[in-house]
Amino acid sequence: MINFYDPKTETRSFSTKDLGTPVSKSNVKISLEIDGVTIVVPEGTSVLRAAAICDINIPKLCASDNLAAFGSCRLCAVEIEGMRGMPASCTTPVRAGMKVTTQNDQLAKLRRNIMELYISDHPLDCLTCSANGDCELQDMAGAVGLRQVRYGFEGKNHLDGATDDSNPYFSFDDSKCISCSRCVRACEEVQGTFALTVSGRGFDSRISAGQQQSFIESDCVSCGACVQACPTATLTEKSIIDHGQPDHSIITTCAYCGVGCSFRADMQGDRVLRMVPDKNGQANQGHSCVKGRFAFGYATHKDRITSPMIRDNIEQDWREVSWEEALAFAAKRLNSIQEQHGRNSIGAITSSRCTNEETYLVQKLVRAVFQNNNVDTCARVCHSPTGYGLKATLNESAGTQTFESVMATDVVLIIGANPTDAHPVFGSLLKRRLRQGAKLIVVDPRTIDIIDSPHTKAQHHLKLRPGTNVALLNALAHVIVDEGLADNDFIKSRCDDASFQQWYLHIKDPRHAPENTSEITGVAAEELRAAARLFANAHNGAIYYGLGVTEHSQGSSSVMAIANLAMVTGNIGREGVGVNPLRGQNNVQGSCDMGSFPHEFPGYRHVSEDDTRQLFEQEWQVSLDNEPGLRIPNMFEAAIHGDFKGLYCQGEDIAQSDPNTQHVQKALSSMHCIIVQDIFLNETAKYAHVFLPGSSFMEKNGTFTNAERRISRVRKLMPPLAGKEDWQVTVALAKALGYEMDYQHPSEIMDEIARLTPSFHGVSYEKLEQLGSIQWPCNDQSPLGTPIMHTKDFVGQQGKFAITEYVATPERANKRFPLLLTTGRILSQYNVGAQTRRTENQVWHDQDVLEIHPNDAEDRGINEGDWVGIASRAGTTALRARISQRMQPGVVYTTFHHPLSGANVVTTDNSDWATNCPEYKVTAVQAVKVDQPSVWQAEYAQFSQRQQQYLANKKSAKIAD
Amino acid sequence: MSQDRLQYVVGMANQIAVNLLHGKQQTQCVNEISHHINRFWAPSMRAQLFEAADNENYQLEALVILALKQINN
Repeated sequence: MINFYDPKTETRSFSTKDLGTPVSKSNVKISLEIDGVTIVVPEGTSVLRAAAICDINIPKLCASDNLAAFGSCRLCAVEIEGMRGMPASCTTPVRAGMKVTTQNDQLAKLRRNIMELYISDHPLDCLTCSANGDCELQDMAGAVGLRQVRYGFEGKNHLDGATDDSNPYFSFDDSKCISCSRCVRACEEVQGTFALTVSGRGFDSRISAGQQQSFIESDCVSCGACVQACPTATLTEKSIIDHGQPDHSIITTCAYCGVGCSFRADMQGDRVLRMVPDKNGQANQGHSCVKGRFAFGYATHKDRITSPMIRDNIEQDWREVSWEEALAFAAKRLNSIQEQHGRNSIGAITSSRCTNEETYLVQKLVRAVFQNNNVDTCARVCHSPTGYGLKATLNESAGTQTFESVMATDVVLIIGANPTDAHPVFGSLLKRRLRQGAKLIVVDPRTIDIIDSPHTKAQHHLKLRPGTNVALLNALAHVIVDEGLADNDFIKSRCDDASFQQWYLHIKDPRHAPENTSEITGVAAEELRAAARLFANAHNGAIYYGLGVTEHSQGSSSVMAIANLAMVTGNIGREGVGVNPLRGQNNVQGSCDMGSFPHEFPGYRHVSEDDTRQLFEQEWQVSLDNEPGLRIPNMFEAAIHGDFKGLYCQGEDIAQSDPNTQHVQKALSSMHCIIVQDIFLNETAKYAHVFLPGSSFMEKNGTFTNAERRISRVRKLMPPLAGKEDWQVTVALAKALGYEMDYQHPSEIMDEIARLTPSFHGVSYEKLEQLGSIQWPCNDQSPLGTPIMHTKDFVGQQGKFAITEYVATPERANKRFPLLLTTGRILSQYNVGAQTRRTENQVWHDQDVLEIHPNDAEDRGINEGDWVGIASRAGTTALRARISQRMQPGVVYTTFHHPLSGANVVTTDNSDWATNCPEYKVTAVQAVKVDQPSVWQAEYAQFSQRQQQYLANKKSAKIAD
Repeated sequence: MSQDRLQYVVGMANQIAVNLLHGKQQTQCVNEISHHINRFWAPSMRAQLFEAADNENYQLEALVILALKQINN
């Protein structure tokens, strides 16, 4: 293996320096003199920051460049010619011609006196303190030359302050707090939760979570911003308390949601001590959530499987074998299936949790080695309608903006997305913009947090019935057209006229008027009209949407209706506007880009395009199939009917995540060779014949592409526990099947992708090192990438309006199933929970519950915490009840983070008309009080136990050998 | 071929037709339906659609029947 030089593995660089106050974006330049040095900075910059930029480091404690200047510690006092006294440099903006002195005897004395007061009320246990080596208070005492504390330590003090250990990841030691309020301000300004406060006055001022609550009982969402902000040992990660300070750091990208936060992994040897959001991270700008910041312990959890295993059938003990034996076994089975059942009888599923390079290789394996196009990805069950709908209208299957763009938005329209839970770091940025005065419209069947949280209130909550998105979106467009609010200049110059005229006639029809759709959607006409006017009249209107749009029988229609809405109001092609799909998993965008869909090669080019196919045939030296392959639900259907027998599943858990579990279980049980590549024995692995141990994101090199199309590096923090990075496993499987893939490093896979894909032509690891991250398209036309898309045209074409007629789902409530179930996610858990369930995040959500409106609960005699049986046409499960005003009557809600909850036992086979994306968001159910879990749950618990035993026996079998 | 299986493709084809039939001339609808099925359906699924079309137990939407002429078998 060649060792590649990786400059980002260097320890902290100058760019991570805290400059004291936030950057000013003013174009007006101001020249001033600090200690005789002339410096030019943007107007609005503080004297503290200006000094820091020219490496004049004025002592500070309460200032930090991610927080507004506060001026409480007074340590940053300076003298300014013509100004009286010694002003705080953090709260003093630069002025032209200013002459600043940052060091003289008087200033030194003042600073020493301030530090002396601080230290007189601070424990002097520096050598045994958890912050030893990383304490700003200690640094400042050193910087000002503090040598004595004349006041003594006997007087009134806070040295007996209690420690709050209630949060599983960090502790709060009141005795070490200097009341600088950086934590309080971080909670407000960065996170936007307002969970912390300063209680008491004067000397009695203390930091308090909520109203004198413990951290865990308070509104704290454990994002870690306060811990990061704390200049002392008061708020410290427990891992630091246990192990000490890191010896080196590596920048990498989070493996959770589609925000794709950049993190600095602080390491001791090959142990990850903590993950700290990278302030240079262009997606997250130094912020994080509880998952990325803290929930990484799963990577070294005892459940990790680190040796390959095989078995003849799924009711047998696993046999631990060498890589060679496992791969030979897999290859033999796949070959024999194809011989017996034909070329199209096997396929693969790529993962949105794996890297671009890994998903690229899996689709290459399918197309070049399996010789068919039976490759699909978990995006099938989440954002496939985005791919379809945005390609059909905007001519590119991707979101149009950066996250930062929201800071220029005047009206935000959120549809079927819950950013504060599912994309928390973007949620915080959005809340910051709302606090600055942007308006908010939310379309959601539930009252989600952002509708009414501290200092953010939605102007309109269109609380629609599940399954009626298209009717609602059409009504919004109707009002805009009907009331003359369309942006005709944009339509005329940027959009295809024929498609617009056709759409115009369609949408003008009175059947789309809100007065006529309110029967369908349950949303009052006046409220909808007001929302439409607010959005259409905005200078910059931006639409954010999630799985509440895509996971419907009309998911693709909704995506196209959203694109119509953005075009008709001219909200495309500049900062502050756009169509923004919030992607579920970290690499959903990337897995789609990499050709994971059965009908298209990398870069969204159809397999029937001869030129494209020949390009790949030449590179891969094989002939390729020109017909689309099977999508995941089609694979299941074919498996049940005996035509599909072998599946290579990398990093996905279809047995838990896909709808109609019993149907999926039947399909999986019908196959002869299921190869699961994962870090745990997940639910799908319980049906597998070959288990290939995978590597977590900490154990490999590669790239992820987030919802902004931003390609970021994933860097290896530790060697893979099972000896191979995931891409190496695919290379080895291809080799076992007789096909050589010759790569020494993932950078070479990216080079191949760049050679073959026009929108990636300019992407390389070298350029990623230079730029930090790149938003595709990146090629000769835009060598530095493309933050905002469609600024001049729609990838060489005009925007196309699509006709989106509302067609009611066949999944309707009736007497037998009177309620509508909708499913979703919560903050502390992620997707199927395989990772987060193996962390302390369990303290926030250790089981999935059924949220039900008080009226529906009362009708059924259901009380908080009761077992409730939930039955649909597909199956029955049981969950504990949570009575919740967030629901509307007639609608119930749950999450699917725990396998035994069986949320997907209840969901049905209904799917989006264009893409087969499952209709997770609408299932007609009945809910009744029961005494115990369902029959499915009891049977599945037994099956699961048996499978765990087969895994446990593996070890004893080895000992016996 | 099992009945269920044909019903699966018939259901999907009809759903495509119902979603594409509005606000356009018939020719355009038929073109869009056949284009969609050719582009996104595996050949095995298209074969099942033709099989269902020949079987009177299955009810294909009229537009799907018209589109069959343009669907690659």
